[in-house]
Amino acid sequence: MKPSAIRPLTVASMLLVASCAVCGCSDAAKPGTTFSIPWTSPQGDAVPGVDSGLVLGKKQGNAVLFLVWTDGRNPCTLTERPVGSVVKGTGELKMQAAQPLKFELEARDPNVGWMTFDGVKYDFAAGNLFLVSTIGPKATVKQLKKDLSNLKLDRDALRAFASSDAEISAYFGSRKRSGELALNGEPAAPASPRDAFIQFVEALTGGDEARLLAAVEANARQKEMLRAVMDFATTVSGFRDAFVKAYGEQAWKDFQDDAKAPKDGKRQAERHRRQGERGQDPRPGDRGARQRSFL
Amino acid sequence: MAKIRALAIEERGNEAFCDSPEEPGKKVRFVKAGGGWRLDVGRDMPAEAEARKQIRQMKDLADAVRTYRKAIGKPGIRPEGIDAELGRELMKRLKGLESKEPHRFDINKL
Repeated sequence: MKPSAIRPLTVASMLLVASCAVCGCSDAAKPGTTFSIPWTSPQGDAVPGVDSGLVLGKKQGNAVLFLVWTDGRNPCTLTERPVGSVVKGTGELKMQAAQPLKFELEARDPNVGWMTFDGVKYDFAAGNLFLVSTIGPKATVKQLKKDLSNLKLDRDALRAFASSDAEISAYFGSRKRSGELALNGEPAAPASPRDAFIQFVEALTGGDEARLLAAVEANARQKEMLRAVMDFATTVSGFRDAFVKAYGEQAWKDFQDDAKAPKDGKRQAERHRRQGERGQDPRPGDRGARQRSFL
Repeated sequence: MAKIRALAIEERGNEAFCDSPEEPGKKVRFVKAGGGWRLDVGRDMPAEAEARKQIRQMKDLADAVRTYRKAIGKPGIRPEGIDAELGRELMKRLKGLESKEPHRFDINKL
């Protein structure tokens, strides 16, 4: 594959096999190559992204430089412009029911680089695996930091990896439900009050907007508020996951524990408290109880 | 979630009510709509001006958390440093107050 080539990577379903000879789709990736690997399951599309899907990526030597893991098998393009040892590229992922999702790439190695999807930048420091849901009226992207060094890049291994990874399974399971609701028009309301409550909590913490809005009776302003709450909740959740992954569970407990705040933070918190008792406006500190309550 | 599954929910025609699992004494209301049931969130929402303010704050705080997430796991960055720097950033955004303490790291240089 010439680096500068624009590659139509896949087509869906029956065209898949025919297209592979042209575009370079393969069962497995060779070192140093850009690859796209589509797969389907004998069990069908129970969960697109897990039981079927397409992975686009590049190997650098034997390391995986990046992976874009999608739940569709729609055509996509990648134009590479390597500059020295830096890989640069632009491309598009076709959506099922929306404008193509544009992406850019600049990477030196699996830990140093970035990608953008529709202009939103993702630094490889937070992971080089990107889950992209193409179902629904709007693409969604989730960045994950996974150890990909032992991941075998062939169809069976990718499907097995997705099935066994809780984060990948949960993400695509959630996107499937959300996308189906959104594509089918007005989302249906839950069948019982309890179902509505459960769906509300699940969707709020899981970042599933379509399911969230289907579970509530709200006007436009209230929906905007819910979106902000959901965004904040999922942002904090992602922060927590990354924090725990990097520093461990105990560090996260310490992070939340006022008694274990950084020394300067403790002093500031104490000053904050004393000033509060005197009716003064608190001075900013490294950290105080008020900030902590948000996380 | 277990609390929700165990809640007693009383249906009264097109409405249903249960006790709030988080706030004792407070009721959660549901209404029949869209061929099913929906949680009535309007009762707990603040008035428009306050809602606008809270939406702005939440977006701002989410932005700060996203910004400092990129410090996680970086060489030389310890969890206490992130704790401290994110804390002061939240205080700055919420209250407009800036600490005179030395920074643990410069987020813009990571």
